[in-house]
Amino acid sequence: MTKGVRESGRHYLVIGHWSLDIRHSDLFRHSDFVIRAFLTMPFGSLRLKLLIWYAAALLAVTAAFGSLLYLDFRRSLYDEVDGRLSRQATALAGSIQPESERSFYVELAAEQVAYFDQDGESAPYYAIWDRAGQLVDQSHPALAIPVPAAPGAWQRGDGREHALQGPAGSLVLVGQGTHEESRRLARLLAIILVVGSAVLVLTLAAGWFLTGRALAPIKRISEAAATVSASNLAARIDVAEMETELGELATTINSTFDRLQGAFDQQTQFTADASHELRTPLSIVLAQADLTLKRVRSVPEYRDALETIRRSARRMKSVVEGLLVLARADTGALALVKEEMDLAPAVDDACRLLTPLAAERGVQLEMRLEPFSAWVDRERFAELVANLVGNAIRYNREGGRVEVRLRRQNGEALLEVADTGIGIPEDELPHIFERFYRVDKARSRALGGSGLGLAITKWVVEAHGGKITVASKVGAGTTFVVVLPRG
Amino acid sequence: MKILLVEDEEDLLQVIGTALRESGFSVDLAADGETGLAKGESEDYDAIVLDIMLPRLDGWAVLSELRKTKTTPVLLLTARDAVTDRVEGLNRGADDYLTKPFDLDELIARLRALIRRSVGSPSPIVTLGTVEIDTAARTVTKDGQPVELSAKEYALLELLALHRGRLVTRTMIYEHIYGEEDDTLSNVVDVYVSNLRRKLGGELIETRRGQGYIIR
Repeated sequence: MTKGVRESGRHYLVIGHWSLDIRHSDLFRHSDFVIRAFLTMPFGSLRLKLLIWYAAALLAVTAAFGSLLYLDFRRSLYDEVDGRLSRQATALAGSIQPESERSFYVELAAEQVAYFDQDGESAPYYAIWDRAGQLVDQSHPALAIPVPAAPGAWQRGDGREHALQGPAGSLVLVGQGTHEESRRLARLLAIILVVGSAVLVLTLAAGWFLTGRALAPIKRISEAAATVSASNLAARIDVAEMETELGELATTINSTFDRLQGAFDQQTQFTADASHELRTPLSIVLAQADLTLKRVRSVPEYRDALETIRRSARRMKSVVEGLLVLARADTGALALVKEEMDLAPAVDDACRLLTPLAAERGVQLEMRLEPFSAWVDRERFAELVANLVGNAIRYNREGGRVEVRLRRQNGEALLEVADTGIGIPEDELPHIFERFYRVDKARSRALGGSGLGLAITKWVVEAHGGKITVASKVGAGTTFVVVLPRG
Repeated sequence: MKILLVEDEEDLLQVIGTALRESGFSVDLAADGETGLAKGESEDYDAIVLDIMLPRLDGWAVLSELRKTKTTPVLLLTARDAVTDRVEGLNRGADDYLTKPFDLDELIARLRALIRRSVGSPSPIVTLGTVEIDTAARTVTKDGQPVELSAKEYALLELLALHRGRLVTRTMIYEHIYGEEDDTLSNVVDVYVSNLRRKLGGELIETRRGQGYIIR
């Protein structure tokens, strides 16, 4: 019924032969190229790409269904014809009267004569040959049927033929035209083609519409994403009407925008703060110089002016140094040089450097240090201690105390710096590690703070894999707790 | 001319204060927003120099609050130079804007221009008959001849000239030509007036007994 035909080294697809290997055919090489072209199409034609895949799948299913329908119908038609022919051939064989082993005569019954006497394009006919292949009898004198090589059933021209071995070496063939069957098959094929094409076209149209609808949110997402830029971070994708998956995507993109905006805002704020921190001392220097140079001044006036200028210059220096440290930390250029050391003497050294400051402010500095060995950057660790203890002294009250404790807890170093100072209001606590955040602006500046100390301290702690926390009560004091792993 | 200077940076406050005093202004100082607002509301300054980033009450808040009761010219000082900041400042009722770091001379020139505009005479030259006052150069001539005046004499003359045709009370004089650091003695004003009459002619300044002075 179906078969693959091999001809001059090429495979051809014959309907019904699904397992045929056509991988090396020109046809497939071409379609492979087309498929690859579809797969690499730009994003804009995703809709077309989807539709083509959809159409290919649909075409394959429709074609398979149509072929099966057609082939099954043809088989049942021909089986029916073949059955009829087989019965007639058997009956015909029964009419053969053997005379000897090699000779016979034919005697047809009346209904058989009538049967084969029918007229029309599909009229049945028969032929009988003897053992030698000599035609003995046939229904119509004009018939010119080739002698079949063996019994069986086959198609010849527009008809089916059935041959079987009769008695005394005879060969009986019964045939019949199949014009009616062919017409029915042609009609079925036409119906399959028309209905199949209609279904294909309709479903493709629906597919085009549906993919368009499904992809519309992607267009919206991409449009919204395109309007977001460094100068306009406020745009967001409207997720209200989006289907689940795309809604999720849009939400994800939106939250990325949120984080981006947060980062940009922070950066803008930081730049503005840094500019402010430098502009203020710079204006003092400039204004003081302008004023002093207006006329000849007395020596004390010059001295005062220079002291003011030096104060401002020092402030700028500390801001610039802090900014440099943080900028290097941000870009990862500031690497820690860790070594294993006992933290207790390091804390002690850092505190000793601050004893004059403590004495000047009338603050009592107490230390309770247990030895703890850890891998730390010596210089940064000293800076960390100096920052925390320095703050504890500066923001203390006259006659206050600063307690520095170092001990082991769960295998980690626990460094506590507690003061009896002015404290930090609760709503300000979350911000104190932010760059340039000052709880008491005037006081911090008067004390020469750059506004970056705690930001740097936090960076140092986190770069060591540690954690810094703060607890404070206004009027009672503040305690910073640093937890550092062994390294 | 009396200026209120609101600035939280102690050094900057002192430097600008001194510079303004040396330029003939009387100056009151405030180191935070609350003090600044209180002073600005209780007195009639000729102009206010206001920093934006202030402790307790920031410059924006001071400005908004002040504008409810006063039309005193305000010059904003800020360390930010974003356009939005300048626009916001002007929209909230500031009259001028300077970004830190600034030039002292520019600050003073802008303050003088602000004050002139606020009393309705944009030109720095005020002519009173044969007497001519250059409020930018702070010089006075009579019949084309320069006249030497002390700082307070000049301040008094300028005050009267800028309020020409209007009565200037003794209270106004105290408020406008004396700063917080001056000792105010009432009879000193009479001395200044008689000095001005001697140098510029007796008919220039009229006395309204028990009320004040006026230049017609």
